[in-house]
Amino acid sequence: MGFLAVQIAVPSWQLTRPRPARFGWQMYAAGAEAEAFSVVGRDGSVTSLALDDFVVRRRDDLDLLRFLPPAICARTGALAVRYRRAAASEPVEIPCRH
Amino acid sequence: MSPLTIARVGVGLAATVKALEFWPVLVRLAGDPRVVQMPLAPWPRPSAAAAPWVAAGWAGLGLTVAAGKAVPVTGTLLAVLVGYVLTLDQQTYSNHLYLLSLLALLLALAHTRRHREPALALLRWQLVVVYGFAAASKINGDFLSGRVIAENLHPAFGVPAAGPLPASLAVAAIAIEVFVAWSLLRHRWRTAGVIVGLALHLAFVLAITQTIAMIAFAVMCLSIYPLAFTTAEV
Repeated sequence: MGFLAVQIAVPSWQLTRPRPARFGWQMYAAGAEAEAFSVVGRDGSVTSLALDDFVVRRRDDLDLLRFLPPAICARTGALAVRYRRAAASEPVEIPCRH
Repeated sequence: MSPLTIARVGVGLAATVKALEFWPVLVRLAGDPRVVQMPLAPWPRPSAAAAPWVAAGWAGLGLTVAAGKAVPVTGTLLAVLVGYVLTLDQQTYSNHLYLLSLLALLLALAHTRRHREPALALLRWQLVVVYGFAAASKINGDFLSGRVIAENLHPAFGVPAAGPLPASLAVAAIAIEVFVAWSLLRHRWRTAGVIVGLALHLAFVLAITQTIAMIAFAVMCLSIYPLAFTTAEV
């Protein structure tokens, strides 16, 4: 009964969090929080990034905004990282802290 | 072949397919310094040299479970190894691996005299939980717009990114998953539920871009279906 209770409680809790969340059987339930990353160079140029250079397996539930911008800044020496929220058309810019 | 044997063979073979699918993922995660690490749990990471052995051990355990060899031990080891991989990094997490880990553990318990009956009941419940929450989590604006479903269908189907067609497909997907979950709980509706479930998984395999993953998921789920007929209750 404990096993089944956990199996119901955890996915129920995950329904209250932003989707898609892990351990909630949320398969193809929602799109990724961010997509189309690019870097803003010191000369103001904007270069698109291939996510496959940074991510081995793309999933909609990756915390891309937590892990990618610092890694992109460190690797490219860029001034800022830009991305698009899946549902929005305007790019969002995150300044790099060098 | 008994329902438990079908479940064991199906889960074991699906485990082997998943091991082959994740082999290059583990090798690149461990060996490519360009890949950003996104840890989920603070486990020690396999070295580049060890990563292929993790995948090979996983595939071997899958085949051993499928062959019915020492299932209480090999099933438990498979559950632990798959659990390690799925919590290693956000990039190796997968709902299919989560399900595989749970099914392997329940199969191991179902092959012991003491835990057999509760484990069989939990195996039957597991699919109800998976289909039920898969449906519930899709009830949101992003999915109901049809955008997510359109993005993941083979381009050959030519489904537009928005509009009545993908939105209708989204509603249909939720309704079908709810029906399969519900019907597996109802003695009179189980046959209908199994037929609809078969069609659902066939549609996943044919229509979704991740074909190998969908085949393994179908084998995993469908191999549990016969257990639903072994009791009047779930």
